[in-house]
Amino acid sequence: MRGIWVLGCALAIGLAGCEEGVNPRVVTRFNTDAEMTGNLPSNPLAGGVITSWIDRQGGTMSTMFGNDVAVKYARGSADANYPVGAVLQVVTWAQQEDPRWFGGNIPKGTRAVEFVTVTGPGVTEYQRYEGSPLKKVAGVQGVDPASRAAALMGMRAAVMP
Amino acid sequence: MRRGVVKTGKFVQVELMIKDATKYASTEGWGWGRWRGTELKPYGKDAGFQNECTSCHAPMRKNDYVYTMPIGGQQ
Repeated sequence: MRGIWVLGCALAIGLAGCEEGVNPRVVTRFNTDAEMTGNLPSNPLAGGVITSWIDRQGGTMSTMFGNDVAVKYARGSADANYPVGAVLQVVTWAQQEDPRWFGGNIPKGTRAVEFVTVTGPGVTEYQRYEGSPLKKVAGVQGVDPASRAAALMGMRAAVMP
Repeated sequence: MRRGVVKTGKFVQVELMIKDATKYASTEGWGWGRWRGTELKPYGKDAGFQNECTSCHAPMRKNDYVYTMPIGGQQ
């Protein structure tokens, strides 16, 4: 009986300790790992979301944002003829396990930020930023910038009511 | 898309939490919402559905009931 009483006290103290202590997994904070550092032509997070994808093999997650012109076009068109002034911004993050949701993944460091700007009828400019802080790079070896821009513009917008 | 890439598919639902410590004092200081399908059908039969939200978010009570860490900077 005494043993049970001692065990009960130990459990009570233990539980109280849990209640009082701070669990680092639930401390209020921003996901600073996923911040974009460096000087970018524009802030992707200020745009609207067009679509997103996850590369399981590469362990990355990407979100395509766009300025107002791009978002409006993407929502109403099925082709890739974005009008002049449209800007697509694709942010690709590495992934990390979500400490607050078992089995979930959240963004980690920024792997790349890509910009596709329609500068004239049928004319696009492709820019790519990598590193920490993010710096402009020539592109990905073996990938033609124009082809990459066309591929990004060819992605259909996610369905949003 | 190359192999191993998963892209956004069918729209399932949209959810939100809106903070107002006074207005939503009875539901942990947050208003909770969920709409399902492209017709955006409100979830639950009545306001009691919010108990489902708050009970699931209870482990985050020391973090103002917020699970997802917002991305810092540049907002």
